[in-house]
Amino acid sequence: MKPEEDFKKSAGDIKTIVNAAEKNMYSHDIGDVPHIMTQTFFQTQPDFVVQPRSVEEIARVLSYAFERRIPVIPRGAASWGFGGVIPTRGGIVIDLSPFRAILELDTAHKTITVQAGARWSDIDIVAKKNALCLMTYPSSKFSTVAGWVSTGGYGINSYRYGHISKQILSMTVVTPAGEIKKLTPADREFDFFVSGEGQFGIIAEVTFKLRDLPKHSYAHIFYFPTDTAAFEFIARAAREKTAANVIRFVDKNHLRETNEILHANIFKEEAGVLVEFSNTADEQQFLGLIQQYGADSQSPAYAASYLWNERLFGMKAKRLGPTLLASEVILPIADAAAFIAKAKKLGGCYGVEICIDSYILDQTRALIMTTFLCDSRKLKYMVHMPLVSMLTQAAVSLGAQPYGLGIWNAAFVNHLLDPERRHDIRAYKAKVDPHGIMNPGKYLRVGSKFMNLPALLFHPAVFSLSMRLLILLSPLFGPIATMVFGKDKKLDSLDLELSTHACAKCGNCMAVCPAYLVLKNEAVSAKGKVELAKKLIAGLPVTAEEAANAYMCMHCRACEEICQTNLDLMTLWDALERRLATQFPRPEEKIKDFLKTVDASKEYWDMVERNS
Amino acid sequence: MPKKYHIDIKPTPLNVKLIPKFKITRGENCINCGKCTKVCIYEAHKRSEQDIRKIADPYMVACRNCFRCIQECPRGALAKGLEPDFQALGGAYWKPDMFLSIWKQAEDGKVPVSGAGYRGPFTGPGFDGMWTDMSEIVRPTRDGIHGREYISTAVELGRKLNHLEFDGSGALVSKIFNVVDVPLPIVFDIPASDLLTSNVKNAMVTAAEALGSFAIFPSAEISPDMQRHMQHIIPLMTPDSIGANTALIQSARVIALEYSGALLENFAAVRRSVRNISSALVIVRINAATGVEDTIVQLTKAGVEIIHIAADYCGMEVQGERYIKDVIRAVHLRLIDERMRDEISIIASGGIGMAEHVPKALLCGADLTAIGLPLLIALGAFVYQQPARKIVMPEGIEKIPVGIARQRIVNLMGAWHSQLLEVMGAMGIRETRRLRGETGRAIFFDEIDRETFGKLFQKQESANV
Repeated sequence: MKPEEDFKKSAGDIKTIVNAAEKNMYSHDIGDVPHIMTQTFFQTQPDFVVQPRSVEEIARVLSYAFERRIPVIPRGAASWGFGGVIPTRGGIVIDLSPFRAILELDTAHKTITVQAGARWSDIDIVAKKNALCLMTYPSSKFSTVAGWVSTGGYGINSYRYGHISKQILSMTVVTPAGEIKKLTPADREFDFFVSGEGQFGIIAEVTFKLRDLPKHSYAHIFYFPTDTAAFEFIARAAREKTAANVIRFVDKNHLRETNEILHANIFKEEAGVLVEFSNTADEQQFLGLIQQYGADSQSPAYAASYLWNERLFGMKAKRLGPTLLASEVILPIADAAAFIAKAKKLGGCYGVEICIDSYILDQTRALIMTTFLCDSRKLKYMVHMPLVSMLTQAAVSLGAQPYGLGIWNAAFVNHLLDPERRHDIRAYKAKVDPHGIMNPGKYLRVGSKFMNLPALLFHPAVFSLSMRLLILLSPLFGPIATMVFGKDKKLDSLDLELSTHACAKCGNCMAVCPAYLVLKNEAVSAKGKVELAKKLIAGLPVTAEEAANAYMCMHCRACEEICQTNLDLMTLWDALERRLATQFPRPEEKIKDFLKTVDASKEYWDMVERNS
Repeated sequence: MPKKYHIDIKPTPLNVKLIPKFKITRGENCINCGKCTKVCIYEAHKRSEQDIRKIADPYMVACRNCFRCIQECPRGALAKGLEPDFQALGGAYWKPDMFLSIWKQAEDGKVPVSGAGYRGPFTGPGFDGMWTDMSEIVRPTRDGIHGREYISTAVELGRKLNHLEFDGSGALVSKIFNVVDVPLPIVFDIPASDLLTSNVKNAMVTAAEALGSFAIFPSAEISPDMQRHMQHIIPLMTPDSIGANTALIQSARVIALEYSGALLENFAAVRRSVRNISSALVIVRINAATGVEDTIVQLTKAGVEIIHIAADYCGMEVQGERYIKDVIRAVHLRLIDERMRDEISIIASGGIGMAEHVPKALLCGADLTAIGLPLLIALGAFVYQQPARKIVMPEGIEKIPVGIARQRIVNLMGAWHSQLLEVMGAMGIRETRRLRGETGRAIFFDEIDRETFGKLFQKQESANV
């Protein structure tokens, strides 16, 4: 009996995705890791995907898996790049992205209760209609609530409101054995689920605080001659607890890229500090500090507003790539400038331009995202990928914490968790998940095929040593690689093929796509269609079922509006349909059924009204 | 009780392209959600047939301007504006809204309602310079009318006697003239034109038949298949061609002769030659022109029983500056002065484009009106006044079945008939025959303007001098 048939028999009628081509969408995340690598090390294709519609259904799935010791991989918008949602030895992917209802908005207590897959963006819209809004939220605002609670948790407004876990009042979780529990921050178990990366169970519902919607938003960019000067100022502002919602550092390379994308010279190519306030009192206080300290200059207000509003589209630079690789760490503010200098030097060895984007988290720490452009289609990519780990290694050497583990950062576990915490985690994991079914093969223990041999590479000692060696050899090795493979040039415009590669797979489109909302299948989202286009362009065989997915589109342009990389998606869909039409007849009946389903969907009309 | 006059109306859409008054533009921000297709009860918004995932361009002919789609569009993507092609229709006289009104009446035969009240000026040139007095609507009526079913719209063509004379034994000595009853004061006046395809002409004739009225056609235009309906056709000819049209005259109840100076001189002979063929009544058709009232007095004296005064398509004299309404008034009053008004029936044509023009023409002194252009418009014709008169028949008009074209004309007349009844009911007049020259039920703007302000402004003008 096929696994999904056995599942249906035992667990009952829960929606599944079993089609091989469609399952494929659920075997990777935002990361651009070549299939050959993931598939050699891991069995990334899940047995099947389930889409529970209630907490009770989640519990049923978990009991089923627990009993049979089948791996379970929880999945949200899949916009975290460290392999957290990639299956390592098949199993059941629990897709919580369609489990996205906003359950209750309590305007009196300013709290909201949502399902795991609720999008921050949707919550913000609903909240704003009631004069409320989010406190801390991710820069990938189109990701899911439970996903971010399980992974990141630091983002916009962290400086003012702290980590997202500080705003959570309660969470409904399902343990690997299928027990439903409601946890509050007072519970000892609560902490395991924060940044728990799906190791201890599944977060099914979350209740958290909102804040009053501020009437105004004032943004400023201050320029500093060097990164060091900028961080000296930031350190002082943070130390003195200067009030601001957001303090963000962007380096000159980041600002140059922003200029390039805009084809205009709007930003000064210097170290920039972006701050945002919701009242003039905070603004004046901060301006006073600036005056005391003396920034180089200030950008015009429109430029500051632009950069502020672009905060949700951090991957726009992919247009110049088409690939963007990133390392994310949490570093003491005092060491930030030193790290940036080191990172740029390291990048220089490999002929790439390192861009820095950093959110200040509190008085002492900064979340630093180091990115660089490259091209996953080229051989040199094999050199660029380890560079990400080298950058993280360089940071942790300076006392940084990795921003999550997943697979690719698992080797840095010792820099994130002290021995005592690791012990606690192991003990709790052994208690709730004795068979290790929850998201196995990552986090504390990477496991792979071939008797786990490849996984040895991810052993902290081995990995750390090899990365250090690589960093050491970079001044020698980097230029050779650049000589052999050449230097990547930035792109000026994107053709269709490049567009498919420039897709960040960030999942923004999934949050707004009506076809995805109704059909609940990533293959029909813009992300899935781009994947299909990629396949077609590569000349790989495509089935009629896959082809039909391309037609499941309302032509609402929502994906295009929300696209991180600003891709010309409507043109791409037309081209895709034209191309498919040469192989398969147009699936008229399916299109008709699709429209009927959409039309009859309450969720769809709710989405239309919500966005009106 | 005798059978009442009734016009059978029936909703009859026309399968040709008409120009809608408004256009709804769909903005780039339309998300094809389909909300408009749901909220529009007239089906102006539909999904595209080529690709049902997209919404088709709005079908504006169906649009009834309810603005619901614009209000309910979740994206505010719809905008409504005037259609430039529509505004280019007609001209100063044939205003674009008249087309819309005629199309609508031809389609459903109902009194058109604009919906948002009348927002235009209260006076203007031509028929717009007179108002019908409908004050009876608020007080007991002169004729004691209670409902439209008591109103007769019938009129007569032909000479009427002032009084009857009897001899000593009580026998009637007066000669009773032959008259023809027309159940509504409208006949069709169809000029020769190569725009008229055979189905259109047949539709006009059969519509006239269905209405119990007449269609005036130049004799050369009357094809053999139309001759079955000669009882409702008035063949128009020159006096010279009477001999050549013997067959037509034999089967017609009324014929029309083109006026010429010669006809005035030998009318008695011409009339005799017609009478030798049949007992048909004879209309003399004369262009509205300066001094036409003199000619008409002479023609009446010469024994003409029906006169047809034809103005141009915008209701202006062919030679002269007067509107048809003023020409009719002049003729009517002149005939009264000459004490011969009942000796003759007057048909007025030219510029009759709306239902209200009919009672107005009658109030000015006509017995009947004749119309042509509204019938073509009912069949989808576009008329342009600028730079010169131009009529564009819709594409594919020759393929429209006679039945459909006829019903649209019948519908239009049904709507006009209804409006005539409404106006008469409000006037408190029970018979259309009594509308003739009933200026007590009309207000002429020029006159009240002069009466009210004339002295004031006269003074001022002279002071300015």
